[in-house]
Amino acid sequence: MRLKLLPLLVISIFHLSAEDKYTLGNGYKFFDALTIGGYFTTDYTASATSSSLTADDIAVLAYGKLSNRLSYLGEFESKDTYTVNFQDSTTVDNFQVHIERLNFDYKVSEKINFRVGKQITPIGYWGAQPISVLRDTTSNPVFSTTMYPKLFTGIDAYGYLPFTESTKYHLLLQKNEDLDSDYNNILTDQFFAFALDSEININWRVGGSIGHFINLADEVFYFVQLNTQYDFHPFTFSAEIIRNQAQSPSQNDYTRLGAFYLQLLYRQSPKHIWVTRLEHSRDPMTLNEESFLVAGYSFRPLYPISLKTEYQWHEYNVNNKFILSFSVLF
Amino acid sequence: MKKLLLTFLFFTIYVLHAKDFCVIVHPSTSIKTLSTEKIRKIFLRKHHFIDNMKAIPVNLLSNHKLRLLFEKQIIKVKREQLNQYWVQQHFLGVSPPVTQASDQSIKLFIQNLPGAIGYIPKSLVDAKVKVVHEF
Repeated sequence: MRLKLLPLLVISIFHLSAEDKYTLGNGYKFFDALTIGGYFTTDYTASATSSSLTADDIAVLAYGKLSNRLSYLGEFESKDTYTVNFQDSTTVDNFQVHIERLNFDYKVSEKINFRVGKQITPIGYWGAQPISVLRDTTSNPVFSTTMYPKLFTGIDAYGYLPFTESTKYHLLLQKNEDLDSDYNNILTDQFFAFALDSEININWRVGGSIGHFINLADEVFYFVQLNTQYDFHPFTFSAEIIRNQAQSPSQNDYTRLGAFYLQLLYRQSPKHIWVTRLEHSRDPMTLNEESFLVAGYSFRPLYPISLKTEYQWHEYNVNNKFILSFSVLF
Repeated sequence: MKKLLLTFLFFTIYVLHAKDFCVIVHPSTSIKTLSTEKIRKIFLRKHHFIDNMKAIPVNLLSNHKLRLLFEKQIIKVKREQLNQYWVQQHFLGVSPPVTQASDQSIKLFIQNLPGAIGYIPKSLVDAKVKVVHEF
């Protein structure tokens, strides 16, 4: 049933594109209370040990204003929908639809607003753009998926700090279970964080965060993170660094993890974008440290359509990887 | 010839520096001026309030000459970057400002809706709207 509904939905949304209210990449605005959009990604990954083709994300997005100050957003996604493994000629499908985001936003003033529900953790630059079509490379920096929950179910009190109109704060509070426990990188029922993001000028942003969470195995984590982004057209430089400490339930063992990346993006033109990124991280499972270099190219005939390719050179050659992806936001 | 060149130069400088357009709000708004930065953030939907009222930015249609001038002088990003920005915002559940077809309809929109903010030629300004910025 779900398999039949998804293509129908995609086709019907594309059908609406002929109408005035639709622009590719901006969704279809029925009225103020309802805009509908979505996205999909398919990627091919090849390494020394495996190669696979995946219909990765198929998602529908709905949002709108319920009153002058109250708005909502829902995002429902089928993840790793269909995978073909060429190494062993197997296929895996997964048509279960998850709640990626479901939240309500109430605007009080420039200084304080509230977002309640399942939402993106507003830390760093990659968290805010978690889908392939919006990213500079198909892959994420490793730490953005290993060091803190990329989504949380709770309250975000946010706004601009009283003494400035350019520094935004977020105070995140979660003391309950995840709204969809099948869909998050780290499952937690307790997560607190404080994040700042400052626009120094039109080209330069800096930010940072501190946080604490407990995963479902009762391991206690603390992290501190810093980020900066500088735009000097046609280049954009980004860097993020994070330090994470994990404490075992018995409180006897500590594990400290650190990670950073430096990225330089070059816009040859709006359609042709080149990117290189140096990453260093420590695998939370194996505790192996590794540095690697990513070189990528993105072709965007229109901004919401992205054909990306990248190659990763790892310190451990066995991890070298080639990735090709095609993604659209509609 | 020299006189003609000087006249042309003077005229060019005058045109470049003349502030023929303005940003307007509802006359009930108590604020007297808004900075370029504040207007930019309202139109990018990074700031949401004017004088404790929910801000409702209103744009001209995308190919209107005044909108292009507004984007160049106030928003200060190229159209392609702006389009990218709104695609990214769509994913976050944020829509671009509403549009009106003409500067007269922008004025009408603003004079009837407290919190609305837009831009029109100075020549259209009267007591029904309040000027908070000139460009």
